[in-house]
Amino acid sequence: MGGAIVSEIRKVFTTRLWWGMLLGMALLAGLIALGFAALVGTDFGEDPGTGANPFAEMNVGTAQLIYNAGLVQSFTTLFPLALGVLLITSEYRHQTISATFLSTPRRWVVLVSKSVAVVVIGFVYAVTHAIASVAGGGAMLAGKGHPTLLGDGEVWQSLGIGILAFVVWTMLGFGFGMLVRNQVAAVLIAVGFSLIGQIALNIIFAVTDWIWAARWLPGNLTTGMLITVDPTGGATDASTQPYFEQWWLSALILVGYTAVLAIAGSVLTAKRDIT
Amino acid sequence: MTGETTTGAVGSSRIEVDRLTKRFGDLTAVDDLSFTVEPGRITGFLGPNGAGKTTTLRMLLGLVRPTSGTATIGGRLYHDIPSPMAAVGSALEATNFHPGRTGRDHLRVLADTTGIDHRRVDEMLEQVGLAAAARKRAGGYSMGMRQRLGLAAALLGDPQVLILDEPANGLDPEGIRWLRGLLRHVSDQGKTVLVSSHMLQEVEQTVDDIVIISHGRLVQQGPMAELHGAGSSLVRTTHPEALLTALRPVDVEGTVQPDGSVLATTADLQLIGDVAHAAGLPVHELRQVATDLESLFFSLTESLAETTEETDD
Repeated sequence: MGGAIVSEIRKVFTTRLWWGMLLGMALLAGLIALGFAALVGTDFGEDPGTGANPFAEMNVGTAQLIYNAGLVQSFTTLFPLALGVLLITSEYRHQTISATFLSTPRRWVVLVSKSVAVVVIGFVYAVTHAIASVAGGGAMLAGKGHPTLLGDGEVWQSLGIGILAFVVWTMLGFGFGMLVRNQVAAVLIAVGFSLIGQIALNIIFAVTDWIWAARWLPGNLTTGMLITVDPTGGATDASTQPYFEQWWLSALILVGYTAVLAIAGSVLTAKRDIT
Repeated sequence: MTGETTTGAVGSSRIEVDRLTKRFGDLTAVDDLSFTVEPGRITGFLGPNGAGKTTTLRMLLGLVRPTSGTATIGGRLYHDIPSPMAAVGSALEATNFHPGRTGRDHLRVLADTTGIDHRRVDEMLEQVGLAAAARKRAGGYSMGMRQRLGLAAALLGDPQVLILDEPANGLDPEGIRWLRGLLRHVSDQGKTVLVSSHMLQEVEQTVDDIVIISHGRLVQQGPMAELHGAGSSLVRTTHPEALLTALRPVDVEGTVQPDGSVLATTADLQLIGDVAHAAGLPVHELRQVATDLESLFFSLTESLAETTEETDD
């Protein structure tokens, strides 16, 4: 088992994919955080109905929002998602899956080892994302003379949960990739749903007033995990928001989605003929 | 103890395929196939494209689940071999490489699974002649280089059994010569070598035993020498009967063909020429006739194709 895990981790780090995507993601995360930080003190984010504005003044919730901006925007979550999909589908695309199962014929050993490798690379991405976001957001806040709130425990907790969310999103992609196998189809479906599908569903649920349904969308679950303090300083009625009030409940549901995909994918992978 | 180990080693490297069947939906890719592959010999696994060779090998290696029957190596299913790379080395036709990973890293990834020292990786790259390209991405490798990398991967664990699917594909004549030498070297160590091919000429001079399949069924199995059959020659002369009489004392039988030529039961053209010369008979044509395995190979597979078609009707 130890050997299989080392092998899977080496697989990740011996192609250009991991650092190419990492670089792109870090750049985007930094820029989005920087952009969010630039909004502080403006009325750009103000809700015309309620007057609630997460950027009105710096508070802990605003800091959580800025330092996880890429994730909250459901944008940088595309990177761990795509990465997870690519790590498994590339084995099928390049038919290296045969060599993998020939060296380790017990398929569950391969799947567990791959999962470990996915968690490891997901963690590397997560930490990089946090650093880039804090650098981008913090620099802009400091430049504009706002408090960075980087000494606050709840801000750090949010960054920590961000790392967990990241790893979960990588596993989500991995599980989905096992089910679909076709690389192009898997990437298109996963990214398409996260980007366009979720926006569309959010609009539909808002129009139909199905807030309860919107709370179950992966992107909203992620935001619910990360923002534990109301950035509008109490101006928003939590019952109208598409997020569960407890961050851990959101986390549990997201992990549940991941487990379902990963287990279904594993069962199929263990049974399927490799032709 | 030593004796036991030796017996164990030999026992652990015999391949046994027993009533193996695989159906993909309506298609029967492998149909009640049984054969054995012995250690210390090179066995050619032959059949036209689509005969079911790759499917058979994939079932043997645990990649495809048989519909029924078993395929074992040393009495064990591939799944149950504790350290498979050290027991069985394989290179499958479709075993490709990640184009962005170097040849060396590809082997290192495999070596890790079995705890094989990375020095062994570099040795293998040297042995298959890929040392210079080791740090280049496999995407830029030629077909011949891919075959060599696949072979290096198969040999990595110093296995007792070598299973290669179409290893000569893409190799130049020099590469094929090199492959022959390598396979002979491996089998001389008492190891089992199974090599598939859709072309008889490729393996004709390499293998000791052959297993021929067509449409997923066994057509022939046995030592190459037996199946090859005696060679024969065709002679054209002015007096065929006189030539037959002259050949009898040297133990060569012959028959006169409808077109007046003589078909003699020897591949020794020099002998026939000498006999004819001694008998004062002019030789107008003298050549070997292809009753070698090549025509056997085709006639066997062709006849099976016909019977299958008849059964289908």
